[in-house]
Amino acid sequence: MEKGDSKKTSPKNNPKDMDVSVPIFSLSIPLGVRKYLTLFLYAVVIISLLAIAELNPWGNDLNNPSGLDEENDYSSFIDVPWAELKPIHHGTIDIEKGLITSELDDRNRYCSRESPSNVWIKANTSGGKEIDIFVPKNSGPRISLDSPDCGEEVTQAEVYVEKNDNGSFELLSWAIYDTKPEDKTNFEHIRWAVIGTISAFLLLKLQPTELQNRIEKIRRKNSLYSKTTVDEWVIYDSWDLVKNRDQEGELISEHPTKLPKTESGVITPWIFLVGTIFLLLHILFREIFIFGGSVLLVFLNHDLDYGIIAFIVGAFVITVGPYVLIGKLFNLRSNIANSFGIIFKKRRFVKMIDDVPTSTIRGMSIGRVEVAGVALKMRFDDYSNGEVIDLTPNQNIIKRVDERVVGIQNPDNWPIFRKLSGVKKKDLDPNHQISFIVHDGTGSVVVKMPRKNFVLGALRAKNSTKFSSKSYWTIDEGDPVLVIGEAIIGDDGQIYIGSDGSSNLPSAVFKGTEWTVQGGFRSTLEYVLADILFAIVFIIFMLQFWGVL
Amino acid sequence: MMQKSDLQKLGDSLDGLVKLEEGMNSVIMTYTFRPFLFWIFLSVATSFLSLLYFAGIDNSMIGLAFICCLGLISILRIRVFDKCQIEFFPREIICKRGFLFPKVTTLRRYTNHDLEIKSEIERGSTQHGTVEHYSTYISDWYGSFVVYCKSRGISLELVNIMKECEKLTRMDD
Repeated sequence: MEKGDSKKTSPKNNPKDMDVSVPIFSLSIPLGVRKYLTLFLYAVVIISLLAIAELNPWGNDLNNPSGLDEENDYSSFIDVPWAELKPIHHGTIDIEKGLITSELDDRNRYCSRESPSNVWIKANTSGGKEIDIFVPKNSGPRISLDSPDCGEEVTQAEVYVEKNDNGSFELLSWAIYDTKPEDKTNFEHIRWAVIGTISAFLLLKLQPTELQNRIEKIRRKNSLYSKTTVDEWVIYDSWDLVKNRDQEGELISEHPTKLPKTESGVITPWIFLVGTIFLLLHILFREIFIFGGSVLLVFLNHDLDYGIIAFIVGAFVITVGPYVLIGKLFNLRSNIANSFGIIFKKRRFVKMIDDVPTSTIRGMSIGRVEVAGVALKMRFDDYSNGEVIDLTPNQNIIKRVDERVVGIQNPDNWPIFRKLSGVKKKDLDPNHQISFIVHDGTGSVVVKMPRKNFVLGALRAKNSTKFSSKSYWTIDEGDPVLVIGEAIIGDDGQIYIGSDGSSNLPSAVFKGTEWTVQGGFRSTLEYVLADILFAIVFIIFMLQFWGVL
Repeated sequence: MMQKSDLQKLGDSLDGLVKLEEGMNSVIMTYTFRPFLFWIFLSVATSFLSLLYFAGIDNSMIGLAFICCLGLISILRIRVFDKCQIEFFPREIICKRGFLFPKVTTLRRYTNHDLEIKSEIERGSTQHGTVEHYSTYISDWYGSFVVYCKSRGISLELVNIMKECEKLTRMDD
């Protein structure tokens, strides 16, 4: 087998292979097994949207069933076989005497009542119209505890019924003796909104950016290695600089100045997914905040088995529930920063990368700089006087570990679990200064940045046992890095890249090449469109909330 | 460079349990451990669920049984019937476990740290006496991948094969 790096062996290693024309619209379907999952989820989202278009929750008052003598004038945008716009009616009916009988059980002092089951009954509406109602199996009427004594004749009932195409009705719920029957309304749009929201959310996670997709294609076409993480080198692995760190010669092949530019105003399905999520969330929030959760309650009445839910909730509460929940509160800040916070940070990052031109380390000037190269560990000679020297025998420059013991995140917060934890509080200190070397082939320079300035990208590894799991995000020796900061002359005359407090400009160390880092961001056009969509949906919701619409 | 026949010879030493192939710049090792048991278990589980369905059992109970079967498969898989593939690349070792959607563990090679490949014995006592589980594992700084074996001999032989594959695909120093 041929050993060594791909630079020497691959005949395809030509920058021309990376010159791919940038489209205006890109489907960006992920490659590999994920493709099938993505396509399946797209199908589910489309099915959900079509079902909602039939149910038309904006045009139809689905929360208030009409009276028994009234007609529903529901409207639909489309008719699809998997959704049904059920006309539900609510009202009081007169029933025949003896249809519901009661008998007192003398021994147990218990009033046993018998009601029709699995039969058609005749009834009169309050408007005097005679109707046929089918009473399904196991649908006894609801009776309150203070209902009249046994033996009293039942001649009236309050019902929720669903109208069939032939004008007959099917009983959904009923109650006697002035008791309220179980609420029934059209909740099917809630079911589809929930299914659609979950699928669209998963798709947002799966949907790569146009650049990520392009990079993956280039990797598959050109690279001899299998690359499993998105932050790795695209083609030219410059691993040899780890061994030859003292060499100063030619610039590494995958330096941003040698690669084609990547900026583009590409639109991907991401923006449509964002729009879909806003639309579906609008439906759900409208039910919760404007209609007081009425349909949501009916949805829960229908679709959940309280026994199982109660068992799961109970088991959670008496086992690790409080620890998990309070542990979540402890980690709330970092969790928000790592999930939602990153969305807000991304634009700042895009601007930061665009604003500063990449320079070579040999030609770097003092002041604001952007350099790209291979990350190397500090050696004894690289440290300045008075610095704490890291002599740990590992390849690791920085790592973030997220540990869970029986579902409890970073148990170092809990004295009882502290002994079990591998994560120490000092490893989480955002201001802890981390030093490493970046080498771009022309030379190397020391980088000194606080932990909070490191953007570690994709998950490096995950270890799980029966009760615990550890997730690692790392920058290791040999990984590509993109550094943006201030080139400063230190007290001992040594030049380093740091974050200068006086200029107040942002600095960061990204794991990856400039391409892979930019691949993590959407195009500016998409971000602007997402903002506009959010603003539109938010304004409509607020106008509905205040009763203007 | 190692020839295809050498690779086959290495794989044959484990009586068909291990298959070695030469990939593009890599060596692919496939280890199959009692694969027939998986299909037997799957057939029994499917028959059991069908029986429940035709006996008119409640859907929620069938769902629960289905989840239990899946759980049992995932617990038994690694020790009782296993299929895994380990791809040795110059920079990475990609370990995949599973049939349809394999779980992937990526191990990285570093200049100052060799991959750890060794055989292990787990001892446990039951009412019938001491039980021993033999395994081979390969690990880097962060992750590890465990392969359970029928006997200690197989486990040791697997270590040899893995070390050979690792050596064959090592980067130039």
